[in-house]
Amino acid sequence: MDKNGITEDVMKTTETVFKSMVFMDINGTEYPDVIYIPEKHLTAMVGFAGSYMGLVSIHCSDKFARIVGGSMLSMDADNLSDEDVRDALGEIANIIAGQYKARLGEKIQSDEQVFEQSIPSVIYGDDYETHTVTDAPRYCAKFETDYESFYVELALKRT
Amino acid sequence: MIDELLGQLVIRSAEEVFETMMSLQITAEELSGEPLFNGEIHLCATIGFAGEWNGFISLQCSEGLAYRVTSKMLSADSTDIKKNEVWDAMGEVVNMVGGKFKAFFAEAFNSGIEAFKMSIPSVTMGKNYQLFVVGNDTMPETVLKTDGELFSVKLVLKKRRHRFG
Repeated sequence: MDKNGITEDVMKTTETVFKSMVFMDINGTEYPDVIYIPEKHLTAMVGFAGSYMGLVSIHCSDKFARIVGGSMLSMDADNLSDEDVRDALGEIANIIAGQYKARLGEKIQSDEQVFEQSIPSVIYGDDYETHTVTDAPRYCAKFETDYESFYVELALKRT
Repeated sequence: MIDELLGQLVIRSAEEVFETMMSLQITAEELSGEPLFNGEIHLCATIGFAGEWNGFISLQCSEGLAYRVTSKMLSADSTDIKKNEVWDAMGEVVNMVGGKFKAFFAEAFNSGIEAFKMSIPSVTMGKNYQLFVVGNDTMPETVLKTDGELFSVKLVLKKRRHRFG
């Protein structure tokens, strides 16, 4: 685990968000390898900039994203439109970034916002790979759930 | 009207970067309404904007054009280029186009004051995927041509809503 405990922070933040917004208990472990999801999947990304800059990404299958969306919207996962699914996952990425911002602010004892967030974007398809292009460290965790696993990545650097 | 102005800033930004860094001329093309890539491998390089204005800019091009752009940036033969060098180069291109856009936007819309900062770039590569913006926001697209090929730049930009009380 990284010595600054950032991966741990990513895991704790994601676990909290999933418990409160998706009503799902999840378990995270550090994941240093390349993320590969073989079937139709989504990557929701939120960039941020300020005293710190970086990117939060959540990667999961379409099937799992529908379960997340269904839980958030109190709807049957099978009745969600593709747009509902993308919006739900984008919102989760946005909330994870926002909660991580608060955690980072507490950690460095800053009264000011450590960064502002961009608008989330979502990549949706069945044959793609996504990479963060930076010399900044990458912190990634894999989460196990009662359904499937998913991944959350953070690239972070001080500006 | 604003979308048109923003589109012009996007074109200016891409022109300056491609001409300065890669000696590639750019022309603006008409939107045909047809997807640019139909099952062929293409790249999508995106960088976020955050601050008084929020959003992102995304540059999409074919794999072939990405390799040629990379070869010009690295002054190397495109056959000698590795995939990770293409990722890095396209990330840098969107970073530079975003940076130019940021400067032009500040000049045109914000009295020269910085309106947003930029995040870290991401690059997606594959055959069968699409980029979406969350919510009902539109994603105006500017289609450009360079080195005999079309590529597109998509921009999402919104003023931050201030909360009062």
